[in-house]
Amino acid sequence: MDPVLLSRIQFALTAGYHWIFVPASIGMAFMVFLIWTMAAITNEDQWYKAAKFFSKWLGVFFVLGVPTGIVMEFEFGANWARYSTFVGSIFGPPLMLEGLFAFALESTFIGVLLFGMDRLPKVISWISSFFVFIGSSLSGLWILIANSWQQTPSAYIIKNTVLGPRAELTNFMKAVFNPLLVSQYTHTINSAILTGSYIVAAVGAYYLLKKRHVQVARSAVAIGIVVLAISSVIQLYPTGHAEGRVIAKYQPTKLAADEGLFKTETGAPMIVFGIVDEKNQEVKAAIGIPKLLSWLSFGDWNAKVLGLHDAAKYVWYQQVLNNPNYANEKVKKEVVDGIMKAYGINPNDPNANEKMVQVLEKAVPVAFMFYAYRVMVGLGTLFILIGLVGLLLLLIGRLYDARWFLKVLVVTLPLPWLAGLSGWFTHEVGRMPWMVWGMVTVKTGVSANISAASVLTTLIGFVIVYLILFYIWLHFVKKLVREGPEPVEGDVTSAPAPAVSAAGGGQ
Amino acid sequence: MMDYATAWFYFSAFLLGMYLAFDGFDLGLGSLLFFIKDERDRDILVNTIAPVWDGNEVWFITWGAGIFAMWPALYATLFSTFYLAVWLLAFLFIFRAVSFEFRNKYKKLWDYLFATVSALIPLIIGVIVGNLIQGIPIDAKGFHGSLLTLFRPFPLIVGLFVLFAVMWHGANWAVYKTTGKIQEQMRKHAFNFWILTVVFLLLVVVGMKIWAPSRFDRALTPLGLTLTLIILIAALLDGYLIKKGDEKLSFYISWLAFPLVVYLVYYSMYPNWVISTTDPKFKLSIQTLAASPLTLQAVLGISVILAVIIMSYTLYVYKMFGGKVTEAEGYY
Repeated sequence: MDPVLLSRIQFALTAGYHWIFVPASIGMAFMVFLIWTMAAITNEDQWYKAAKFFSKWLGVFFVLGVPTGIVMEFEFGANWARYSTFVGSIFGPPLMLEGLFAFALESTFIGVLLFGMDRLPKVISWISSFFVFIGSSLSGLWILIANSWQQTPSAYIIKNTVLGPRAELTNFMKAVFNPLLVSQYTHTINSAILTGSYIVAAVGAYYLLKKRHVQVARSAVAIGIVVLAISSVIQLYPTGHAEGRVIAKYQPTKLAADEGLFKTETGAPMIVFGIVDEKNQEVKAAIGIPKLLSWLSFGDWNAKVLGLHDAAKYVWYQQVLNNPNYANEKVKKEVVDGIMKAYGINPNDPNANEKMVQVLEKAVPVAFMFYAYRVMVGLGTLFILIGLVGLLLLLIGRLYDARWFLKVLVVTLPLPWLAGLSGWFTHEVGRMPWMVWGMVTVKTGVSANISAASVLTTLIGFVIVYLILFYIWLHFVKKLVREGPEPVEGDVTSAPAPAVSAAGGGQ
Repeated sequence: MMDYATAWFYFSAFLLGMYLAFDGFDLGLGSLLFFIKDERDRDILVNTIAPVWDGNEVWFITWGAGIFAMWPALYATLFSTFYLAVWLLAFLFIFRAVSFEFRNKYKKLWDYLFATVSALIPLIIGVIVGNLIQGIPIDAKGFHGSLLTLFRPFPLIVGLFVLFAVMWHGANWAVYKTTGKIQEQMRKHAFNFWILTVVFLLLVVVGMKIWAPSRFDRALTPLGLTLTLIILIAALLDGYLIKKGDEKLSFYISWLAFPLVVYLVYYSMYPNWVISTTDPKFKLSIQTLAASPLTLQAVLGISVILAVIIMSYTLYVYKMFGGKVTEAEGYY
């Protein structure tokens, strides 16, 4: 096996695992702040107990979000050294600013929240939950500044230095506000809030079904459903729609793969479902809405949408060979030739460019993209449905008794993660083979001096360690569910024995 | 006028200094759990650091990301060259978080794990810094060593020095935050590890003379000597204060010792991040390896301001959790 593939698998594994905890942390931070606010406004005991209870949930997600994030930072240097050298001047600063702007804030105040809520005044807990939310969403902001810059790089110039060619900043703020940032950030943060609201609603629903902690549970389900209904709609429009339009403009190969579009079409349909046949380059049994894709992507029912081959051609000729951001022709030739050689193509071959187009075309796994994209969109639609039904039940006063609906909430709890991971997979696999669009591929970005054996060793290490961690983590989630919130007057707390209070701990 | 790369170099020293001063005491306290037989005592000790250890680790991430941002080629070369060691360190950080937060079940097992990783992290960080001081077998063709190169005698001495220093610091913290029997026990550890720290400080100095003469010579300049003198006086004073029982001041002084030592180390390395042990002419200076000028300029001011803000709210939070810890309740 080669270190490139193994490093990719390792990155996908560690990033995907990180993404189990991150959206829940950010989303729970928002929900916890909201619940502490409700407690302050109403001054009712069940809101206060709910705030303390869900603060602990936030803590449980936060614990693993932090160290699995450190792993990602290490990975850039260890597995992707040439990438880090090439774009570190631009990619590194957001990571450092994340630490200073955001990470310090959230880590410090989560300590205050969790350890202070039994000892310090309520107002301190409320303020701390606010800082944790601000910190975690700023954290996400800096990370997505770094990520979106790789997808739609802006405000840079590629120069030759003593350390080889590298991208250098020409304008910090323009690099930060690259074309993709705003839509990607709002789409991602909103997905985290959706996940948080789902957790709160589902945990509340679970206790309602068990007839335990009923007052806290009602508050949780109500606030969870309201936030879910709003965030699920925002996820589709405007954030999802806006991000799609940026992708259509800047990453045509990703769009073509998302939609299973092999041939360029004007007035392209939006395929709702079909079966991708990569060999014959078509989508079989496709059910689609005529012209919708053209309209969604470009705001014009008859717009031309590039098929995969034409898109790859556009990327290579327009975005790579015609990229104006090189200091001179010499450094451009060095970078472009480096990419060709990494894919076994002789730059002097008269057909070199056509061969590169084929490389780009083959780098994106269309079937995988097509299905993953549909999982994301399909689940997004389901969330809107669940959110709106829940809201309706709440408004007519039937929510807490609609056991079938509460069961749906509990059973479907894993789905927000599935949707989020599908979204990230389309986002990241869809840019293949580029690490930085048009500049660095996975083959030119991987560390030159690591062996497949080393990467395989750490990969196996990650699989084992992460599985053990997940098992331990689940144990603590179960314990949290079993203990439940502190009792509110008049509530049945747990079936067999009275619940252990939060501070009592050990079982 | 100081150039931007130099300014970043000393800001990086500040970040590492803050990391060792802040996370140092919780790492040291973690390592000391090896010596605490009584479970309730261990609970109390762990509770003294529970609200703050997470925030303390941020300084390490910021230090690392600062090197990534400002010297990307250095970051990339070091991390890919010492691939397996880097991942060992990452796993240690993961296990530290988990063993800390989830320690309520199988307490003894988790506590030993926590103590082990808490001791290994400062040791490895010391070894990394030791390698930067001594230099590595590298030339224009690349790196000519193995993973074992990392663990040569001098880096190991530096690693042990950092380990003993954080244990001294951690014990000082524990004395400051506890009362009674456990406090007395910790006071003894503070003094013992203070002795080991001073002995290893001298060993590091002698080792520099032998293995890293060019770095040693730079520390002999007036500024270097003044710093060395201040560090020695502070170190000796702290031993006296521990014996005298001034728990507050002895902790503050061990806290301050870390940024001072880190500053001295950085000063002795200036202006070369990397020197070669095989080719005396081969050097990678902080300017050669630096990020593009605009990157260096664009975020320096805001980083310094943010560091000051972080210091302020961190101090506020420490004050909020001030006073002695006597309860043994766990959290999760």
